[in-house]
Amino acid sequence: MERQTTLEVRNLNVYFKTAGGNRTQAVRNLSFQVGSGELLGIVGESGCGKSVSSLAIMGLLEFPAIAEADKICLMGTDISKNSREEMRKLRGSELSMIFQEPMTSLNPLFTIGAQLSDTIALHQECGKAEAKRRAVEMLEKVGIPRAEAVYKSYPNELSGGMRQRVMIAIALANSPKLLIADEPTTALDVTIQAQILELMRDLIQDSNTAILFITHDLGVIAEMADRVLVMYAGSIVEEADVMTLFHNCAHPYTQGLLDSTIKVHEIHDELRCIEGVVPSLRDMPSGCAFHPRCPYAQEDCRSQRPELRKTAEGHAVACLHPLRGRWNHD
Amino acid sequence: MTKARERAEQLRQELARPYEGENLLEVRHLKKYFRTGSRFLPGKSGQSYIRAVDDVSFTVKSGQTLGIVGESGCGKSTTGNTIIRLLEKTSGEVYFQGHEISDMSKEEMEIIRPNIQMIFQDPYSSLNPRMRVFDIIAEPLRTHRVCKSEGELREQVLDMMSVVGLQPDYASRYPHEFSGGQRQRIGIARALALRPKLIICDEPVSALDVSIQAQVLNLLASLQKEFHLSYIFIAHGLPTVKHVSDRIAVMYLGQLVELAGTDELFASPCHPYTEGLLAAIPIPDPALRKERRSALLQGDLPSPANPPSGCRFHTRCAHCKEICEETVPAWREVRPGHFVACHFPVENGRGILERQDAAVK
Ligand SMILES: Nc1ncnc2c1ncn2[C@@H]1O[C@H](COP(=O)(O)OP(=O)(O)OP(=O)(O)O)[C@@H](O)[C@H]1O
Ligand SMILES: Nc1ncnc2c1ncn2[C@@H]1O[C@H](COP(=O)(O)OP(=O)(O)OP(=O)(O)O)[C@@H](O)[C@H]1O
Ligand code: SF4
Ligand code: SF4
Ligand SMILES: [Mg+2]
Ligand SMILES: [Mg+2]
Repeated sequence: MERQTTLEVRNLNVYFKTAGGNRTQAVRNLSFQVGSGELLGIVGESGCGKSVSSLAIMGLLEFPAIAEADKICLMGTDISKNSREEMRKLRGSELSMIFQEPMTSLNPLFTIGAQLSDTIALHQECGKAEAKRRAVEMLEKVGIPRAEAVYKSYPNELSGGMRQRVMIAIALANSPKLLIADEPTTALDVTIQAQILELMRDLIQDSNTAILFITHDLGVIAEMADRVLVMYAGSIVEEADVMTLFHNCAHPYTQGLLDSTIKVHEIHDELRCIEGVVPSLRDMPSGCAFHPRCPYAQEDCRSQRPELRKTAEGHAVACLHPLRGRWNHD
Repeated sequence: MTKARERAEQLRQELARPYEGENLLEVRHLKKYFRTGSRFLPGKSGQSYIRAVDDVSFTVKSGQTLGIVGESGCGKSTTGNTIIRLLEKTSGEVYFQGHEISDMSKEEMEIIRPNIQMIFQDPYSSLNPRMRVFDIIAEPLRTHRVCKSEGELREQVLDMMSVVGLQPDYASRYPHEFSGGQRQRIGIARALALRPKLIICDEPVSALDVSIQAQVLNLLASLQKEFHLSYIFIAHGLPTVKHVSDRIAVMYLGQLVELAGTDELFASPCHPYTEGLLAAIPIPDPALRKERRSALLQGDLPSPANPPSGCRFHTRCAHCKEICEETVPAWREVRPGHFVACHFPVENGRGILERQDAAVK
């Protein structure tokens, strides 16, 4: 199936102004694209720039953050220079987002129904009654029992899982072209997480929505993603389809992440860890940002910054000495 | 010497020796209820209880790890906190090396206390921000007057720091200068300082990054071997629990529903809830991606303030029959060492170790 490019990001950089008038860089030269109907997973540890990147794409970054990009194209149109007002119009229709903690994006003072039908009425240009009908339909679609009753309730009357379903209903209500889901299940219990992932899989199965799915959990990536970006310290270090990533990764950090992940389905899982800690923005190592923790680091890694380079069709890696079949120790 | 002091001295000597018995800790019919509703309306009308821990029994074997797993609010932390008497029980018994400790006098409990330590989930809030690392680790040693001199204290603290992989020159720093994983190491060093026999780890890695989780889990495993420690390892997710536990207890709404050896539990769970928990784990291998998961649990967790009648799981159970709504299922041993509380335990429970099992045989 030929995929249409929904989003193309070219050279996105995000900086933070610091008190001393300096700036730190949180995201560095981020370039990628995602096609219609495709689920692109973004994985990386805390602070690697996943949320900041997605907020930049949505036009939601606030001072002291500064985002710069060569282009951010949505359906072929560059939106990186859009005004606030233009971005506000796009959000909720073409673009939508689901956050980790639904309470931060649901207004506690309004009923679920009011918030959902407002979004629908605003972008679908329909009357009140029609908006309500579609809203209830949407609540049913995301598996909410007694949708009519939930329509009239307030966010704090619902469980965390129910609130996340409501968020998904709001996010998908206007059939967006691009959906960014930032850790949508991290705050939920495992059985509820499984329900939400299942629901998302069902809803996107035959839609054309392109999805950026952000998580730090490789298990969730393995269950959901078509293609994956691995981020470390603000940069993409590896990009591959999901099978290649799990069975033939080329970046030492990706291998380290996979080794650190507990394999529930294997009897004896040995946990190998990555030594050391993630560097802070103020104190980025020279050369390859991963070199202080990398077991394969050589002299040149300290001084030379590796660029993201294509190694095979659909597979790119930012490493001076990429792994070739060294991973596959089973 | 008075009788009480004689007893205390005996207890002290007994605890100083390594424990020879099989069950280091035994918990019997432990209950912890929290009162809710108005305090100003005594009597039956205004009061209700959250039955956070409701008749829980298990043992921790010497030198082993018992995992306790269950979803948010099922009573895991309350169980741990009641065992070490951060909370006072509602009823039940807790035996440490055969001594009942949940009713023990303050004086005797002081003797027991160094033997049972705790590591908490949040490496940010569980350390006093105004204390230096040295003093954080030294505090329990000072409280229990373990060291005879400042020099000995210093030696012990630095020794603990090196055991958990913290450089000695970190001793004069404050907690905020450390990463999450390092803070968790400080918490572990502090817990180890008194050379306990049992450590209750309450979600010790949940707040950490994957690569740091692995560091801390490996550290806990090597310390267990080195010091012959027993752990109670509490987590809401099965993966970490599986990695560290010899046996696993599964908890639901204040009660245990299943307890078995780790591999047994993962290969052939008997309780429908365990089966559902296993099915919910995302498997980190896209080649094993499941098309549809029939064992996936539906519905939400009921409130522990008002748990369902009979089997508390019946509102979400696919095998529920009439008796489940009325009668509480008994806790019974279905296979040696494998306990379950269910009227209709699953015969060939769907584990996630099947494939490997078949491959091994
Ligand atoms: N307002 C801010 N001021 C300064 N730095 C910030 C600000 N917001 C975020 N950062 C920094 O930007 C970097 C990227 O943060 P981001 O929230 O994108 O991480 P993340 O990958 O989403 O992590 P997590 O998994 O914890 O959500 C971090 O180092 C963070 O400390
Ligand atoms: N001090 C308290 N007063 C009243 N209710 C409490 C108190 N502590 C805990 N509870 C309630 O008891 C139940 C069990 O709580 P507990 O903290 O033991 O759960 P948990 O299994 O540790 O959950 P989590 O995974 O979220 O840490 C919950 O419903 C909780 O709200
Ligand atoms: S560039 Fe060097 S240090 Fe960086 S990941 Fe590759 S081998 Fe390791
Ligand atoms: S007792 Fe009945 S409701 Fe409870 S888990 Fe067993 S079959 Fe399900
Ligand atoms: Mg984030
Ligand atoms: Mg807890």
